[in-house]
Amino acid sequence: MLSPENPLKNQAAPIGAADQDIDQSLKSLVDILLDIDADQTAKSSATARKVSPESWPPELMVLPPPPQPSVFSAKPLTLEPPQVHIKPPGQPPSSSTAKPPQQSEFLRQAQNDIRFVLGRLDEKVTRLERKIDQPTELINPLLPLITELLTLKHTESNHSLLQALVPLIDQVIQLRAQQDQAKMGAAIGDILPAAIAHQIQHSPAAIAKAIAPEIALSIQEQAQLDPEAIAQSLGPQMGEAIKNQILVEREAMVDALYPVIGNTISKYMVEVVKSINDKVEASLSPEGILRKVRARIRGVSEAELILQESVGFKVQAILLIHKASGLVMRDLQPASSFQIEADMLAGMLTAIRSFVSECMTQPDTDSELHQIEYNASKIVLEVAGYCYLAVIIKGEPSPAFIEKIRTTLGQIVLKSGKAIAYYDGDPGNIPASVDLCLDRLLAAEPKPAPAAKFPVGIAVLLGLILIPLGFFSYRSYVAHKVELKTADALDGVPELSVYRIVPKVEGSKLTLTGRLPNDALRQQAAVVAAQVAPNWPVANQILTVDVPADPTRIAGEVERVAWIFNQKPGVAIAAQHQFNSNSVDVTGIVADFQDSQQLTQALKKIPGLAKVTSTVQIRPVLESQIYFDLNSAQVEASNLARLRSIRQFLDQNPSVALKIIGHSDPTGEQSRNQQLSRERARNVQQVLITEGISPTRLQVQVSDQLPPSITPQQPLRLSRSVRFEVFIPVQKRE
Amino acid sequence: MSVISKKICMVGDFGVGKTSLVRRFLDRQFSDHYLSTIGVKISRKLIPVPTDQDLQLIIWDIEGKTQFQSITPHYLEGAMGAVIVADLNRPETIEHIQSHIQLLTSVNSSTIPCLVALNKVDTITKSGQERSVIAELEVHPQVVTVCQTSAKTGQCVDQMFESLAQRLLEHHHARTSERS
Repeated sequence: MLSPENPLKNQAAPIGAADQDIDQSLKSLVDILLDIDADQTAKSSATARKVSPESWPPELMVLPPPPQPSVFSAKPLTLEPPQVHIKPPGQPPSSSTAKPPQQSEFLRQAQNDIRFVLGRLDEKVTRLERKIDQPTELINPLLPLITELLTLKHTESNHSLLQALVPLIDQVIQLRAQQDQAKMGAAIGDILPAAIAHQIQHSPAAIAKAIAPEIALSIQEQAQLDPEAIAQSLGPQMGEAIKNQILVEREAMVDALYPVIGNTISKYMVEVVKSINDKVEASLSPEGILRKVRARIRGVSEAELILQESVGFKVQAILLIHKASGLVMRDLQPASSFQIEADMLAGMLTAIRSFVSECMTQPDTDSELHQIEYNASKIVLEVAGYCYLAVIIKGEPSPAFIEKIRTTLGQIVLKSGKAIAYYDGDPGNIPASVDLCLDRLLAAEPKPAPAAKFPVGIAVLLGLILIPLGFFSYRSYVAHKVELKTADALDGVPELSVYRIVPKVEGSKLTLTGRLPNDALRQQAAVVAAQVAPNWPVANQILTVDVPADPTRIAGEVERVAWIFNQKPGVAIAAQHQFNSNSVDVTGIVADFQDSQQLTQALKKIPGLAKVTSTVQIRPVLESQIYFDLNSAQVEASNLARLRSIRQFLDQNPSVALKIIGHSDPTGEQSRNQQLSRERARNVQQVLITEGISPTRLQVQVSDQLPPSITPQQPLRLSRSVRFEVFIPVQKRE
Repeated sequence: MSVISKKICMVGDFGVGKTSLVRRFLDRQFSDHYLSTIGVKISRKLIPVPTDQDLQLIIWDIEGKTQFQSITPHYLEGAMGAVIVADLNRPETIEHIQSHIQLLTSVNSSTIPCLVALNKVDTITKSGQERSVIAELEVHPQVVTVCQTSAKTGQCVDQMFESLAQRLLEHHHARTSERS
């Protein structure tokens, strides 16, 4: 079809005045038709209406030349799309002077045709005017025409069509709606969503304005009908919405939520503070003092401990996880708590562990993930062998509990390490002992402070201490009685009473310890003990020992031997018993070597004497004698050397004394002889005294016998002599 | 009766569709938006076995190998099966399959069953070029089967995972009887 930009309008002028006439009349025709169409009841004549060309839509200004008359005659009331012969816009419009004869011929022809048509139209219009009183009669024949017109006009003039239809449409809809509401609904329903969508797209503000007042109401309505549906459709967006709102208007959100969250927090804090308060008040209780000690030992503040005790902790889950694959071998969760997706958690934890050990490790070191914290909870990880334990704890776990986790894992790895290493995904292959360990760990979690609860633990502990203590006290009481009775009985036996024997109960036996000089006494002691305590087997541990000899007795024995030897001629000995070393030192003089030997042997035979030290001398020089002239007591100078040697001997043996025995020959008067003998001895004594020997060591004796080795047959001068005998003075011996 | 759990890994170059295959298998869903997996994503799927213990697959969807980043071997530890994924439209991803199998067997037992998924069969533009590579893979001792899959249409996805599950169960029973 032609567009308004088409230059036909400009071409209208050269067609000539006749063309304009036709144009005018056609316009009037259309106008009439429209008027009839628009207002069925109005009788106003279309021709009477003056329509200014300016108000016409541009489409009508370029209406094409009239159709062929034949068309109209064939279908008088049908307007065929007009055939237009138009020159291309590029070509200059052909003037009438260019082809005058053909052009004027054509125009004439056209004018005739139009006149003919107009005549008929006039006729019809007159007829129609007459029929205006019967609208239905008028409209019925017009309907096909109107349809055609509408089709044509729609393409040509939206505006005029709209203008024509507008006043009708609401009535049509209203009428139709009254006739058949359902059908009308169905007809409009199909286009409504598209219409609304279109409208929303093009003028959202308007549609919002239209719908807004009803939204609240409709949500309310829907919420009443199906509360779930609203929740379901709004739910997923709520999180985002709140997040967005927090981003946009944080303060407002805080204000909005504070009444709820603030109360929750303050309620919790009130409880914690109350608990802290109680603990501080009880700081002088045994528990409080214990806590002070613990705080000191662990080097943390007491307040920290109090807080830890107040907040407490709770095990939410214990997972035993295969280290390499992250598969869950055991999953313990208290029935009361929220059930955690163990498999997924274990997998993710394993992945995080891998990540840490892969990406966080510095060269030459191992990185290990120990703990993951979230909110008030934490996941404690403890790794050993081919597995690890993940313990999810709410609150602050005590170091003792952490230690318990470690020891539990240690036990598990120790007992079931192999089954864990070859874990193939079947939990049934893990030994039941693991469950036992984990159950114990789960049970080890502390119960919230039992304030006025009977201290079962302490009672058990006391019981554990006191019961064995009582048992042992009773046993030792019985044992003590048996020991006393046995000791008394042993004391009652005279031969045993001098010895110290200790009866002692050891285990279930009566043990005798001590020392006795012989086996007979040892046996006797055992018999006595068995009689006193017949229910107790006797362990005889008495030793038989050599009794150390009595020192006094030894001393006496030594003295006796010495005395016996001193009776021998030429023997002068002193035996000194040393109490400390139980030994004897023998000094003095013996007659010969044999005497010396005999003396030593005799002393050694004394029982109990440990050692004999002999320094006895076999008398050397005392054989010598001093000889005198007849009837003289004068010591000759030739004897002085001999006397000096005697003096030397006495010097060397200070404990020895000397008997100086004077002799005379048997001739002459006896009294004179005795006097001579005495004088001779005294003179020798005097010489020795002058030599420096103490007179007390020199004893003078007179003998009326011949000297021991002299016989009467020997010369007389051998009898006129002084001889010496060595003796040990009595005082020295003591 | 308890459930046997087995860890399986999704291995392959970046963007070949590992995550999409898992998503199709688990959720019956597919999305065209490409989201790169960072680290690892773990999911599980319970496969009921009527006559025996049920099998639970713990699926480790591991981030794809790129030019700059290799696969973290730790993530592969303890896997009892693997799905090696390649993109039919990217020949280099198919060529890399061998090296993925090598990495798997170096970390795990050398008898680990692997399943090759040649993905995106729905968008295939040129075909026939990888025939030789595929034929080579089919005779590889670790490769259970080679599937041409599509996470988008779901072609062959379930069958692939089920055949791997089947193989895992056979493996499990063989080992159990060995030990007993």
